[in-house]
Amino acid sequence: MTETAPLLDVDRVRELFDLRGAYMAHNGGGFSPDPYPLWAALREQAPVHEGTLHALTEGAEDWTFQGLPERDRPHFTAFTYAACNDVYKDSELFASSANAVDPTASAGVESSMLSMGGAQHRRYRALVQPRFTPKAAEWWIRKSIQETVDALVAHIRPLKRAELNVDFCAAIPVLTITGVFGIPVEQALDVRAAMANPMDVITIVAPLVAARREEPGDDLISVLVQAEVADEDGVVHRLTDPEIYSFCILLLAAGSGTTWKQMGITLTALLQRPEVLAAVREDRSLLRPAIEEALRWQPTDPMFSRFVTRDVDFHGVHVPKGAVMHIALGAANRDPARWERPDEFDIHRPVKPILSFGGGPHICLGMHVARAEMVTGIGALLDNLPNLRLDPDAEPPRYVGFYERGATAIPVLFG
Amino acid sequence: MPEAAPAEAPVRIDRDLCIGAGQCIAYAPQTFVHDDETTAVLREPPHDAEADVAAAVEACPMGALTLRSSVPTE
Repeated sequence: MTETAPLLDVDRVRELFDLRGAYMAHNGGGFSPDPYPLWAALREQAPVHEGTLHALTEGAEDWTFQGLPERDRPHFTAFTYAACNDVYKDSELFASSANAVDPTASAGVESSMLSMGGAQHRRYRALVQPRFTPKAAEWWIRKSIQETVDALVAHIRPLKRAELNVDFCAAIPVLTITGVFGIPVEQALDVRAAMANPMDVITIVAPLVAARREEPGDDLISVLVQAEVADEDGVVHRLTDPEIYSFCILLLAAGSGTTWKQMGITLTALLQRPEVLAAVREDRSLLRPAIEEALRWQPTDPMFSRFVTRDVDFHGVHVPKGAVMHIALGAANRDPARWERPDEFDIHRPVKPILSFGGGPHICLGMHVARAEMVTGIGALLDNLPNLRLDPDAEPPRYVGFYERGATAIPVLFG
Repeated sequence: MPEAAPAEAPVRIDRDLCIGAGQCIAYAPQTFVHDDETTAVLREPPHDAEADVAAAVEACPMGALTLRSSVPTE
């Protein structure tokens, strides 16, 4: 591969990372109105409403997210910051799975730590947490992020124009996560395509798992094959292949599917405000606050869900055991009880925690990696593309999507 | 003249609750660091703006941090 060839097949990237395409249709990828005024009205009416977020949102359709809603359960949605935060903070009352998780069952997200609770979740998360700390983000940058970003920037720099959402943002996370897994670049898009069918992911990672068991290296699969976990009785064992596959499916899905959209959202917010972009270019210490503000103002995943484990009166609503509580964290992030002018994108706000990475014991494992990808990626654009601006003759980017939100194409000129 | 008491740590960390998620380090990197068990410990001496330390305490997903000023004194 020459230094300036695209790292990935551009047409295939466009197909896999088109929010409005068939791949995203089930979660409302084509939704184009701004849902925030509707969510604000709901948040003002009551902290918690009966119904799913899409059922409560005018113009939304019967979409699904992470396998929900299950038809036979009552559904509720929390809208205020206080209510959403309370859901995250009480992981016993609001559990991540309706049933106990058997990690030795067949591999998949439902067998992974995403679905576990309590001490079991803590034991499994602890195996990988050391590779996902703020300090470890430097390892990710060295191992994968910097090289990916440099190659992408080298490719677009001579062109004087680019489409940043797919040709830049989408490529970074998928190459970052596959890079630290030790999956070759040629297979990176196969991983993304395989997310629709976990068995295909296993086909890709199984030979790598076998090879790392023989000879460990400096990558995530080697961390997993060497990890030891104690079971309920305190007996320590190495992770089985299905346990490792479940980890891989979860980490590859989470790593390739979120940060690209959030980076596109952040870039769009900056490009649409040239004076803010200029300020960030001038003073790079503003990049991190800009990324955090975009996370607050327009999180790519504005909703997550929990299972209610006992009857409870919660923020004025009686919620029965067995119900599902949906966390409208996008609405919570704009709660006027917590932020002044909450609908404004303002990178100079006082620092205040947000719910965009969730909360409680399941808080996003990859959040420091996501932040590192965005800082490295956007920083490289500012360093290398002088006079970066939206192409005035192209269709301007818009935010679309419902349960997975992001920007449409981001056409830019520079130089 | 009595010696000055050593400056009190600004935050109490519950090591049993800490899962090493690293939110405290993201918000107040000059105050918190992970030890080799990926558990939060205080830097010596801690030096972030008070507002950043307060944000770190609030951002802890496990509620493992308590601002010293909010710990009742006996």
